[in-house]
Formats: sequence, structure tokens, C-alpha cells
Amino acid sequence: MSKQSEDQLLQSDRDTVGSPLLSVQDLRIWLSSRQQTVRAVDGISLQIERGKTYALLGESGCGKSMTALSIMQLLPEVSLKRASGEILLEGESLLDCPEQQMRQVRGGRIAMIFQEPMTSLNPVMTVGEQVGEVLQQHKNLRGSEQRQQVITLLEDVGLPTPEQRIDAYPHQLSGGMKQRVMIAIALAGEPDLLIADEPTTALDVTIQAQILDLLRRLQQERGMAILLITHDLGVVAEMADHVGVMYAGQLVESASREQLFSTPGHPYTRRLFDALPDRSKRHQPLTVLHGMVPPLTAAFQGCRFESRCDQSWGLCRQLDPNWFAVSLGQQVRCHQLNPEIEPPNREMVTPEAEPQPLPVTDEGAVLLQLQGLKVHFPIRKGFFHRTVGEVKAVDGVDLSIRPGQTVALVGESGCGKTTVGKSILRLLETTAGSMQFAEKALNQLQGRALHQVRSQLQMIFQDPYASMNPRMMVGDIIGEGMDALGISRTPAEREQRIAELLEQVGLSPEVVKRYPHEFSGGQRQRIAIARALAVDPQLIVCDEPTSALDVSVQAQILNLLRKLQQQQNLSYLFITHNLSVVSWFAQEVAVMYLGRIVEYGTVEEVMCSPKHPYTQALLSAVPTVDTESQREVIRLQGDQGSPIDPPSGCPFHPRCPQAESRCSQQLPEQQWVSETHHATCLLLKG
Amino acid sequence: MIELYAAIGAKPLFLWTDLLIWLLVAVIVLGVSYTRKRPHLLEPWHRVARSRLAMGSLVVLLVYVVIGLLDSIHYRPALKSTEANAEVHYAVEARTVLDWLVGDLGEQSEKSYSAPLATHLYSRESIETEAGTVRDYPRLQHGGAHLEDPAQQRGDLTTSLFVGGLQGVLVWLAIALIVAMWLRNRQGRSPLQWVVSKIRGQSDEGDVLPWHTILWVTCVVALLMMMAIQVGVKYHILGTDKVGQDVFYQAVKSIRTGLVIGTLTTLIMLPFAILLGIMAGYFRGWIDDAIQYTYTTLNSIPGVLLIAAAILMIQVYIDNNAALFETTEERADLRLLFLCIILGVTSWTGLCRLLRGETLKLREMDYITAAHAFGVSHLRIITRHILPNVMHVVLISIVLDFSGLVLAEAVLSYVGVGVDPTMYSWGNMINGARLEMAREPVVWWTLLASFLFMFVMVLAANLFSDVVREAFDPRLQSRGERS
Repeated sequence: MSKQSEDQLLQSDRDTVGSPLLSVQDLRIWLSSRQQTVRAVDGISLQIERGKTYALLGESGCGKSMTALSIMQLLPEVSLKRASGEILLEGESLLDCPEQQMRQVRGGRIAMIFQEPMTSLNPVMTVGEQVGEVLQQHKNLRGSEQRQQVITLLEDVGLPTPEQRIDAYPHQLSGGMKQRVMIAIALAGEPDLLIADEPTTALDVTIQAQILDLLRRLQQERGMAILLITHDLGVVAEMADHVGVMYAGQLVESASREQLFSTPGHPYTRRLFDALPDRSKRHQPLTVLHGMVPPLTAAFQGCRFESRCDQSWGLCRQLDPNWFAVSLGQQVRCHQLNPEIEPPNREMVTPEAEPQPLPVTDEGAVLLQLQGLKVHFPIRKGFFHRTVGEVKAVDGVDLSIRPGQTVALVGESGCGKTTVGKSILRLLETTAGSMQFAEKALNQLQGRALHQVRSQLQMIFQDPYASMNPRMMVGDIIGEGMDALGISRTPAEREQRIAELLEQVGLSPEVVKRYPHEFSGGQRQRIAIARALAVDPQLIVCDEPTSALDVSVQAQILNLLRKLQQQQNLSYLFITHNLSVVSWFAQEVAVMYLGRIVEYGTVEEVMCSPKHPYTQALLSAVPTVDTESQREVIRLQGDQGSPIDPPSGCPFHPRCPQAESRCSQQLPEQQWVSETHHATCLLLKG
Repeated sequence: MIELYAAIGAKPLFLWTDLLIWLLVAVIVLGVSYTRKRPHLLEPWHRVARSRLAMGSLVVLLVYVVIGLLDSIHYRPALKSTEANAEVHYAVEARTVLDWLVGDLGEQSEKSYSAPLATHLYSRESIETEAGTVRDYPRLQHGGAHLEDPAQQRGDLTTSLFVGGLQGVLVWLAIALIVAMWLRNRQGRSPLQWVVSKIRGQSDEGDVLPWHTILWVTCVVALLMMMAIQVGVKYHILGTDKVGQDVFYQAVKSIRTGLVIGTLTTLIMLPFAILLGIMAGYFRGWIDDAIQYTYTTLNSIPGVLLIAAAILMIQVYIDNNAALFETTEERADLRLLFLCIILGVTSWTGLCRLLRGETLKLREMDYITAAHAFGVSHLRIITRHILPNVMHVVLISIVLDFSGLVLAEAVLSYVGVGVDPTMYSWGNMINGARLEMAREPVVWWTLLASFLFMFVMVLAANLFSDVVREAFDPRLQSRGERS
């Protein structure tokens, strides 16, 4: 062996030992879209070590996914204008890698899992074929050998009875199981790096906990590095070793998890923490970040966060802050923390949130009373539409809402929360039970009487993109209800009312002539609120109004909802799966499981001393920012049953960690724990 | 009135399809003036106007439409009476403004086939000469008849093309200058300077239209048109057909038939498709069942059968009531109208099904739910929420159907149940060319002419509509902003 090659060998040895698995240096990606250039990623540098998890945290549109796609070299070639910088996988540049070779890297050394398990799997191929495809490509396995390996992989990712599931099609699996299959596909090539792009955002909390557990276990077993892309601080706290906070195409802070959660440096990071709702902030409005992420189409001058930062001064506007270390392992991009820059001598005013009293509710009157509400959907089949079964979406719900009160309805997807909300608005016909609204039998109203009561009940929807007709102007959208219910008087009055409403929800009255697509998600949600308010309702059903929004925008909307409640004595039925929002926003909580309410009580009672095993599991499964407290996590197995054929006895017993034999035979009844708190569980009796 | 007709020597003839076409024009003009005052409706059209592709194809389409419209004003010229003060009689064969403009091009017929730009017939005939009877290619009566010696043809053609080209440039320049003078946004330049700057591809601040493209396309069109006119008066540009009629003239006259079939059929089909499709998707239940069974049944009857039955019935009616029709055009027109109607009745099912599916999707949208929560009436939900959101589907299918219908006309003419055989149409031309393709030597120009004319029109329509669809689809608009 010549001297030279020996040197090279030594060199490469040193590289692999000391150097990280993946190193991204000053990555810049420009995309062109409709005559504009979007600087989607603008100078990102990061290192991922073997066996560690690097979390990329940021709001939507800040360039997280673009970074991931450029590591995979999967950027749309048509719109890619320029990519510069370096992406090194074990010292090998991926940016210059030819497509032929890149195909070996993808799936083989880097694998990726996506947010939406429903659309990431091919619906016409069995699970086994889809996993096998990767094995064939990267491991050259075929036939029975391949099948054996697929079963092992499916077992690894915790898919129950893999021998049978291997021939299942994606539609036969639940969302959590699909995500497990996606992970199995990603693992098939035995990658060194797994990129997980919002892997649990589309899943319920209990399923999310299962998937995060699985990822952690697999990482330990295989020594895989994970690049986790998320907007959820809770998930970061559970998973990450190192965190990079992205804002407007740049990293603004990079720190280990402990550092980030104990001493967040950048004002943006601090604001993100402040904007998280939880019970301790109950008596004050949430801190909000005003405005939005600036558009990435223009070149920036100065700090990108300047316009939203409440601690900025002149220098921030002129000079782009440097990237420097504040302590070992923690780097920040902010003038304020730079020891070489003297911040202006002034009092750093941390805006003291004024205490906000919780809405006072009238103890006596009841606005809405549901008793034994049942909504069953018939399943029809055949030529004559014979009814062959029923989907028991809601199967006996009792609920009461007082004026000015917020009642939260909590549960996993498919438990019937939205159905309850829609039947209160009489958008669905009820099967049984009674609904009293303002002393009227709501479910028996017809014709004119129903038309009159419509103005008092309104709804705000989850998806701000689907809740507005894209071809109507904002003014017409808000005015629609006033027109239909005959509330507006003259055109001038109508116009004035719309302007008032827009101001009330924090939008400029000039937007009436614009179309919904010109607005961001948060602004659309404000328009949706204005639309509901236009008819002076008493009760608003909020169906997950913030779950499609970023944390900072969520805080804005929640503050707005609470302000309106105080001003107009509104009642809310707040349907959500986000428990931290509930503990900040609601006064009473109803936990739903498979069409029934399993626990009901005030926020303090339910959140602090949950009685039903499901509530306990739900609460423990929520990833929290609080890294110190070592909470015991109750892991629920499997999925929620089917409302077509609910389990006998207590519907929760197949998943219940405390279930006894009687649970499968006897239907539990409400057990009152206190005057305001009850749970439906057999175990509470004895 | 009668005196007036006598004075101008023509009597207008109002055909049903003419009236409908002009009604459509009136509706479009009204729609444009309505849209002009509303900035939010104008916004997507501005996006269309900014597209170079759309404006280029629009210029081409406009030429077609103008020809079609000129061909949709029929009149009957007065017959020259032999005696003075006699009652004026009008010709049985109607003419159109287009015929009047092109002069006697339509009447310059030869004996039989002649190739494009030929000076001689395509087949040998016995010619009586002083030297006796010879079999040779006889000279044409009109094509190149002005030439002393057919050998001069090349030089003559070059001169004609050159003159035509020159005229084309002049015509184009005149149009461009008129447009420039009418424009306000000239940035203080003279019209000529403006035209020159646009030709060089400079665009100004505040320009909406891609003038560079528009001027160039207009230039090409003007050149081609003037050259065709220059050459066309002396030669048969695209040859002649079996009975010696000018193929170029036939292809130009067919434009109207194509436009009528493409537009009127869609207009007749739309109300069925939109109303029934949306109702089926929106109301579900037994209404959905009834509509579905209707179109499934209609779909399972072969369309050609229905069309043939309807057309033959109307033909019998026409033949039995010959007295009702004063001119051959009226007869042919009634058949054309019924062809449009029956094509419309048989072709709404496809769009209806699409709209039903789209509506099924839309009715589950949150904004429809919100409208229900406001107690908005069904009619209002359909007209305000559903209809505008399925318009892009309607638009796309109109355009796809447009070309499909023009082609269907050709197929039906082949079977013998299309437009009247006396009517100029691309279908009839192709039908005629079918036999000529089997002839030796092949007569290829009829097919080529109809193909060229049809192809350019359908292509321009498709390109234009593509841009329109993109401009009107808010999902395409917002995609860039959301990601």
C-alpha cells in the first residue's frame, strides 16, 4: 500500500469517527413560483450525530420541510431555481450526487416518513408488497425470504398479527397502523438516518404516544439518527436530543433540549413557549406574537423577526444578526444576546399580561340542555336501500351549557364529538333524546320556528381553508347569514355592521372586497368568527377551531374567543382533542369515548384528578413541555372500537389497563364523584 | 320596407341559427359590460389577459369568429328583372356578407379536381384542338387563367405573394396604429414609436396585455390573410373538389357550421347538465336516483340511433312541408338547428355525471354546512355556493366538447345524418375526401384543408380555455401562497 493511500485511509478514518452522520452547511434553496423567487431556505447549518435525534422546530412556511426534501434530493426540479451550500452524508456530498446514485441513498441510507399516513401508502398494493418493494430494491431479497423479512419488520414496528396483516390493503388498517407500516417501509433499507416529517400530527394523542414510543425504541435498537420535523413543542420535549428553531428560512436558535427548555435564548423561542396555553395561565390572556411570518419572496434587511419582536431596537432593523454561541452547544441569532453588542440602555419591559378574570357564569339558568342524545346513521345497502345496520355515532349524551360558559368536549377522532356539535345546530337529525335550548325543545322545531332559532346557534369549523366559499368576497361571506335570516336592514346598515364585525375580530374593514385565498389560516379563522357573530348568536359550537393553526396564531384566536365571550356573554361548546387548550380555555370538560361521555366535571376536577381510566390515559399521553416532572405514562393499546359494532359492556374495556371481567358484561352507569364531577366507570363503584 | 329592400337590391333572411348566434353575441357583450364595472369579477380575466398564450390564441380565435359572424348575416339578392317596374323577385339561394366580401370566389368553379395552385385539371381529358383531339390536362377556366403561359406561374405567384405580403404589413400597421392611438398608456410616445417599442419586446409599467405577442400574432395573421386574398383571386389555393368548387372557399364557409355546432349544442346541453347534475348531487335521495336512472337509461341507447331518428324525422317534415321554406338555406338551417338540439340532448350525461360527483364532494364542505346553519335556502346555496365552484368543470367540458362536437359532426355526416349535404361543413368535406383518398392518384387537399382549418381552431380554443381555467381556479391561485 502506498503512503498516499494510507494517508487517505487514516484521513477517512478520522472523518468517520469525529464527524457527524449528516452535516448541512449553509444550505440555500431558492424556488420560483409564479414569477416570484421564494427563498425557502436561507443559510441553514446543522449536524446530526449517529443515534441522536435532531428536532427542527418552527411554524408552517418557515422552510422545515424544504430542508428535509433537499437532504433527500426530492425538491421539485421544475421550480428549483438555485441550491447552494453543502449536504454531507458521512462526508459525501449529496447535492452533487447523480440521480442514479441518489436512488441508492434514498431508502437505503436515508429514509423518510410523512405526515399523512392515509396518502403515503398506495391503496391498491398490499402492505407486504409495499414493504417488499424496498427490500427488493435495497437488499435484493425476493420470494419467501423477502416475505419472512417483511413479517419481521412489521413485528418490529408493533403491528399486531403481522402474518395476517401482511396481505392487508391500506384501507383495512387504522391511521396508527398505517403510520407503523410507513415506519416499517422506512426501516426496510436499514437507513442510518430517518427523516420524520411531522410523523404524528395527523394522529390522536394516544396513538401519537404509541408511535413516539416506537420511534424511540427503534432508535435505541438500531442506533439510527432521526431528523424530526415538528411544530409541536411537546413532541420536541419528548424526543429530541438537540433542537434547531427555524424562522423564515433561517435557524434562529440551536440548543440541546435541556438548554432550550430551561433557558430559551431567542425572543421567538421564548414567545413560542409563552403562547402555549395551559392551566397556570388561565387567568390571563395568552402572550401572542403579532403579525405573521414575513413572506420569503423579498431579500431581508436586518433581523427577520424584528417586525414581531417587542424587544427590537434600531440596530435590529439595519444589521442582520450573527450566528454565535451563547454557551456550549447553544447558538442564537439575536443582537440582544451578543456580548459584543451593547443593547440600548433602557428598561427591558416584559409586557406584564393584565390579569383577565375568568368569565362569570350565571349559575341558575341553563342555555342548552342535552338529555340522552342519540344520533345513529343507518347503513343502507342494495337496490332498495335496505337498512342493514347502524353507526352509533352518538349513543346517549347528557350535557348542559349555561350562558357565558365554555364547555369543552374532548375525545379522539371518531368518538362522535363533531356529530354532537352538528346535531345541536340541527344540521343532523337526532335519533333519540331531548335538546332544550332557551326553554324550547330544539329537536322538535320546524319551519319558521327553526329558522328563527338558527341565528342563536352558530358554528366555527376546524379547517379555515374549507370553511369559506373560495368564490365569495369576505363581505358577502360575513353578510350571508344576515341576509338569510333577515337581520340586515338597509344595504348601508349591512355594510356598517360588517365593518364593525371585522374590526371586532381584529381585521381591517377594507378587506370586504377580497377573496378568502388572500388570507392566512389565522386571518381566515377570524373571518369565520365574524361570520358566526354576524347573527348575534348565544351559543357557538367551536369544532377544533385552532388545531389547524400554528401555536402563535392559536394564541391569537383563543384570546379573541375569550374576549368576545366577555363582551357578549357568549357560550361555547368547544370541541377539541387538545387538552392544554381545554385547561386554559374551558370551565367544564366532557370526555367522550365511542359516542358516550365517560367523564364530566370542572376543568380542575377532570385535569387534576381524573377518575375514568380513559381520561387518565389521555392526560398522560399528552407530550408536555415540562421535562422535569417524571410522569407515569399510561400506554393504551390498540385503537378505538368501531361505532357500528361497539364492544359489549363498557366500550372502553378492550383498551382499559384496569379492566376486570365484569367490564365486558355490564354497561357502567354514571358515578358522581362530587356535585359537579361524574364518571362512567364500573370500577368507581366498589 | 319592401321599397328599402328593392333599393339596396337585397332582402335579409333571418335564419334560426343566425338569430341564436347573434343572441349569444349580445349576451357576451352584456356580460362583458357587466364585468367591466366589477373589479373582483374582472380580476381573473386580467390574469387571462396577462397570459401571452391566451392572447395569441385569442387573436386566432377572433379571426375565426369574425369570419363566422360575417357568414351569419344572410340576405337574398334581388334578381335582375327583364322588364321595368315589375315586382322584384329575390334569389332562392341566399348569400351572406362574407360571400359579398369575397366576391365571386364561390362561383369560380372548374370542371373537376385540380391540385392546389394548379393551372391545369388533375386528370386528362380529350381536348379538341386544331390538330385534332388530344388527351391532355386541360387549362382551368379560372385558376391561373390570366397567364398566357403556365410556365410563368412561378414568377406570378412570387409577385402575388410579395404584393400580398406588402399589403399584409400595411394592414397590420394600420391596425396597430389605430390600437396605439386608442390606447392611453403610451408613456408620451407617438403611436409609431409605441408600436416599434412593442415589436422589440419592451413592456411598460402598467401594461396588462402582452402587446408584443398580440402584435406579432396579428402580423402573421394579417400577412397570411392578405397573401391568401392576393393569390386566391387568381388561383385555387387549396385546389378544387370533384365538381370543381374551390376548396379554400368551402373550408372558410365551413367555419360557421363548426362554430354553430360547437357553441349552440353546448348551450342547449348546459341547462340539462347543470341543473340535473347539481340537483342529483345536492339533494341525494330519490331525486338522485331518478336523475341517475334517467341518464343511465339515456346513455345506454346508442347516441347515433337517437340522432339518426331525430334527423330523419325532421327531414321528413321538411320534405312534406316544402312550402314553408322559401330558400334552400332555410331548409338546411332547420336541420342544423335540430342537429344541435339532438346532439345537446344526447351529450349532457357526461357533464351531468361529473357535476353530480363534484357536488357530492362540495356539499360536505364546511361552508355549505355553515350556510345550512344560517338557514340559507337550497336555491341560494346552489346558486351562490355550488354553481360558482363547479364552473371550472363546466368550462373545461365545454371546450373539450367543442372539439368533440366538431368531430362528431364529421362522423354523422359520414353516416348521412349530419348537416344537410348542401351545407358547407368540414364534416361534409371529410366525407367527400373519404372516396378521394382511395382514388389514384390521391386527391389529398380536401382532407388537408378541412383538417388544417379544424385543427387551428380547436387548438386555439383549447389553449385559450386552458388559461381561462387556470385563471378561474382559486385552488391553483392559492397553491403558490399556501406552500
